[in-house]
Amino acid sequence: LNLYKKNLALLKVTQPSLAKRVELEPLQKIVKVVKSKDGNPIPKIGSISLHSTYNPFKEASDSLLNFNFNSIDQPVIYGLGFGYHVLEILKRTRHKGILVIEPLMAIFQEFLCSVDIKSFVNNTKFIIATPPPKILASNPSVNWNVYEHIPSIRISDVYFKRMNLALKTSKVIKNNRIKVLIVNPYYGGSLPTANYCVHALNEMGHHAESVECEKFADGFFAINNSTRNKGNLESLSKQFSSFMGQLIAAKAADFKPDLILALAQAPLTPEAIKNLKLLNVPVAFWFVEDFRNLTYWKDIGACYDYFFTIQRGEFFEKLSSIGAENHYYLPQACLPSMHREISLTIEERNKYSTDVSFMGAGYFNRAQSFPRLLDYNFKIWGTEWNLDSILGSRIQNNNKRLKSDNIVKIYNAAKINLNLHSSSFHEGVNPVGDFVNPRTFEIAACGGFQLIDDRSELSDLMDPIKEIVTFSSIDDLCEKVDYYLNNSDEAKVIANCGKERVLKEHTIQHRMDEMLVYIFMDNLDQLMARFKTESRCPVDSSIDFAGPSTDLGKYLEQFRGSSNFSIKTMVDQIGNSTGDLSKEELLVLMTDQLVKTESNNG
Amino acid sequence: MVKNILILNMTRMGDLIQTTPTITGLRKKYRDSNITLMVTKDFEEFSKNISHVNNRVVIDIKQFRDRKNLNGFLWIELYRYLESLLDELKQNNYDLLINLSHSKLSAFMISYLGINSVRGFGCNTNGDRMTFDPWMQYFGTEPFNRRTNPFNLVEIFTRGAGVAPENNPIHLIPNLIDPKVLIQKFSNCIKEGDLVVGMQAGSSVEGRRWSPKSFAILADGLIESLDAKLILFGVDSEKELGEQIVHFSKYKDKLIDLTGRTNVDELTSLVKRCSYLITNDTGTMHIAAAVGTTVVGLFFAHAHPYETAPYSPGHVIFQARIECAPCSYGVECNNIVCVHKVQPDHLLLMIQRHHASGVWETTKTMSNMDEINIFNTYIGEDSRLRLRSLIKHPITLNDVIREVYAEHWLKSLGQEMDKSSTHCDIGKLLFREYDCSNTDKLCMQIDDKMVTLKSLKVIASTGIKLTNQIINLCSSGNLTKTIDAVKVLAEEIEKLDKRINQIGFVNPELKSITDMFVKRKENIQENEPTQLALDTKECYVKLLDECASLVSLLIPVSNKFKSSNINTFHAVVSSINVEVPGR
Repeated sequence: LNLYKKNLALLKVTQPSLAKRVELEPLQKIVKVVKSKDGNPIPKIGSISLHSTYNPFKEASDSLLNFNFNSIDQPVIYGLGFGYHVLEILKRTRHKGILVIEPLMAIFQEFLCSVDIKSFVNNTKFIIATPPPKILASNPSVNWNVYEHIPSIRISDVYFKRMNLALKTSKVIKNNRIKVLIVNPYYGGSLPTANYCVHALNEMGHHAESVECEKFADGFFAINNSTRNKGNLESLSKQFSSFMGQLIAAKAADFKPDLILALAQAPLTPEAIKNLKLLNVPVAFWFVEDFRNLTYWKDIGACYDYFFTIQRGEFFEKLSSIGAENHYYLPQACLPSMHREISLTIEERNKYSTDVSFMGAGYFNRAQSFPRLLDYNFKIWGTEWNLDSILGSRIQNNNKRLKSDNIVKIYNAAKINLNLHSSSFHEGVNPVGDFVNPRTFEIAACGGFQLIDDRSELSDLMDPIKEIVTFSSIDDLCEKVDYYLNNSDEAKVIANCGKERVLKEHTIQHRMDEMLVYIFMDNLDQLMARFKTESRCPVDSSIDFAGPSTDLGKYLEQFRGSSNFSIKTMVDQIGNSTGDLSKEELLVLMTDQLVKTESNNG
Repeated sequence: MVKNILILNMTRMGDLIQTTPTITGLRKKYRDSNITLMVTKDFEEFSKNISHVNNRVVIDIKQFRDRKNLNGFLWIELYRYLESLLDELKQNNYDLLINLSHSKLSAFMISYLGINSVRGFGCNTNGDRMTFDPWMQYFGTEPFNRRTNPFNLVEIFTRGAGVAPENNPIHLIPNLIDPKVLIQKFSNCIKEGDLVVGMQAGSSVEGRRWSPKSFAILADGLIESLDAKLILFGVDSEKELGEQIVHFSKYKDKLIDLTGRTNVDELTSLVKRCSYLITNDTGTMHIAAAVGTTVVGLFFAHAHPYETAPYSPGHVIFQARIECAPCSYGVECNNIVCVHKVQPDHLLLMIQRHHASGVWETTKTMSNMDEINIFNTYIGEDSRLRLRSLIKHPITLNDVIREVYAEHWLKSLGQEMDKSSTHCDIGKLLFREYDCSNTDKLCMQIDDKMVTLKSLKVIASTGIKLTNQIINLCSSGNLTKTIDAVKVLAEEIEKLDKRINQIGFVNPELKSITDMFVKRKENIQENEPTQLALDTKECYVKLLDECASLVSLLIPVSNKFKSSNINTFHAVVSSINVEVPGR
């Protein structure tokens, strides 16, 4: 037990999130440890011994005879066992930070109990009980040099097969442009996430387009004022939803996506989802909401092919119970092209700078607890605040919604950004809050320092000591505000670490990568068949047709990712630009004229 | 010295024929130059009938019409085609380009070819529209001021190309086909000495067509009264029109329907054999004018004799004289009443008279003449091809302004003068061709326009003052103080320009002047403030001059009308119809 504690302490330094998970996970006694003839601990699961019971070091050494060590590729070890082969590889490779993937937490726990990890930790990253798509999203997989620990493979055969399938899928996805249709909600917090998904996918080289349902929000809300008759109101709402479903289907039929991804509050009824499935592509849903607050998932959860959540545990059980088996945990994230450190002008600094800042809606727990902070230089931004309340004088921008780029300025300008997750029931901190809001990642990506209320999922995402600072109560919050206002250098170090972590693991790009791999692992053949048969992005095809190395091909490069590309796209772009026309631009304009003449001639 | 000339003419057959005086003029002016003509594939064959052309470049878009298998990539094929065609042209180092098309395509081509000396519609390196040469600028404003335009397109083209239209008639290289052999090929009923009349019932735009029934009635009349032999011309798509004319005619066997049966050379040869060609405004009409066949032209809908009348003397043209004729540029009329104003009898009586006397004149037996114009093309005292009105309609302000503009623009836009060119007496001409017996109202209208012209002059003078102030400010050297002051002046100038534009819209008779002002300003490319102010000033100076010129031309005309009114004035005041206050 002492060895376990010593190892855990060491792990808290090197892989704190993993250490936290190990702590939280009850010890599973499925692994039996025996001694080898030469006195080393050997794990056994059932009748399978994970190492030689005679001389595990020699066995490890012999098993590496055919393993091709090279200085370029990243060594990745499938299966930890008790790490004899890992040590042998560490001896022989010059690489730092080799990856060890082990699907069973029980083995890792027994490993911590039985083996001193000091020789491992400096050069090893343990990836334990982690879904393959997540591994690939947060660890570059271009040049993996995989060593398969055969006994581990035998025990976790299904997992490693999935790992290899995920690897293959990831390569296919990276080498192709996936067409993703994002179905936006009418309004609300999931709308920016929907937009970020489109940005991220396009930045990744895929082709994403939105169904901009928000453009119909006024119509949707107007229904409420159109009649007092409840029955009629329901009927009208239903018809409006049905119309939106048709609209989404029409867009999908035009766009011919490889994947349809609806964001929380997207106006898709079970019928509409069924209709979309006729396109024979996966239809997924990212429910970036608290399942306890919004419960409509019960009606639609089972309709989707894939259901992504920001909560797990109890929610997973509930989803399974309604038949939504294909659920997957996918936390929120930031968009680095939007959420970044920026220089503020003097005017912006005057407007946004403050000791303590909060950006978010005036939920009950915030309205109740924030008066405690009125002695600080404290600015509140966002909507739904009561301007007549005691907080009124601190509410900025007259309670109006801010654009994302202004929110980024707030995060950049404040000494301390508060991040108190909303609750309609608690006076302050929700003691059993689980998911982490997008603000957590966005503030961090902006290099902002934040104080965040404790959330059970947080430690898996950020190190709550080195990378982010948590508070468990409003008293705790006030103390920490005092402390960090007086220790701004310390706050800056934490903020920098937080930023590094977030950019490394918690961007929307990471999430989209993970999502695509998870979805297409099950649909890889179908996807590849579509690549072969269906016409791809018109820009790509045009570049291929023109020849990528020709002047025209090079000129067309700038249009990659353009939606509904046509000559008009180019002509519009030329019309909106200034300066001398290039040779290619002139030729495009002439071609446009010829095409128009020809179409007029029938 | 200009050695290598490229002429862009990617329009239709009629336009190509109308270009021939330009090409002849260019040949006379640049005797040893190499002239290249760019035409579309459709008119490649026909363009061989145009003289003085050394090379032809054919832009062939037709070849892509059956390339449906290219799916979404047809544009790339077109792009490559244009690139290779234009890159090849570039190597010829043309030193003068004449653009007789006003399409965007031609403008972009000019920019791509990068030829230094251009006349016509084009664009600068940014792709902004420019028009090189004052006459070509006028050409750009003309479609919006059709009713006051006195110039045939041939004249605009030739003057735009920097040559004189006088003594450069439209012309086609005579082909070697013997009409006798041709006639035998199609019909054996035409004998030497027979009066042969051609009919071209089609036209590119359906609304411009006189009805087949009218053609049939006229044909019957010509057969009955002059024993004429009728040949129906037309392209393949106009076959139905030919069939209808035959159907409506009493003398089906006497009509030789050749619609869709002749090639361009055969058509030219047969038209030459005709004594008259009765035609809508078509390419065939211009062939007739070029080969010396008398045209009886029918101008309906958009067709406007002042723009596209056959460019040689001795032809007659019929047009409705109604408020909406011709149709404005770009409109699509859904109730073409103008075609019904001209009746077969009008044409029949005129042709009979002309056949007998060799003179185009109306007869007393002609009725329903109030709503038609009959023009006769002739060479005026000023050596220009003109339209003489054969019906003495009561004169209108528009008639006056159009004649005044002819004199004005020739002076203002500049002209290559042929030795025989001279001015004409506008007043005398108007009195000869129009009914000027009651011009009180007209005189008031002219006075009113002169007042407006004077107010335009005031605006132009203000513009000159403002631009002078900018020039002075820019030369003062104190940039920081200057910028704000220049901005204020620039805003003032913007307001002036809006006012000028507005005056043009309120006074359509003067819009030609204000549009030219706008066109000149459009051509200013300078960004450096002093030069920009100088260029702007130039536009105001030109506007001031033009207003003064127009006033100076209107005064004698107005005086002539006023002096002729003195006698009639007394008659009018003594009339019982005079409204007396208190009556």
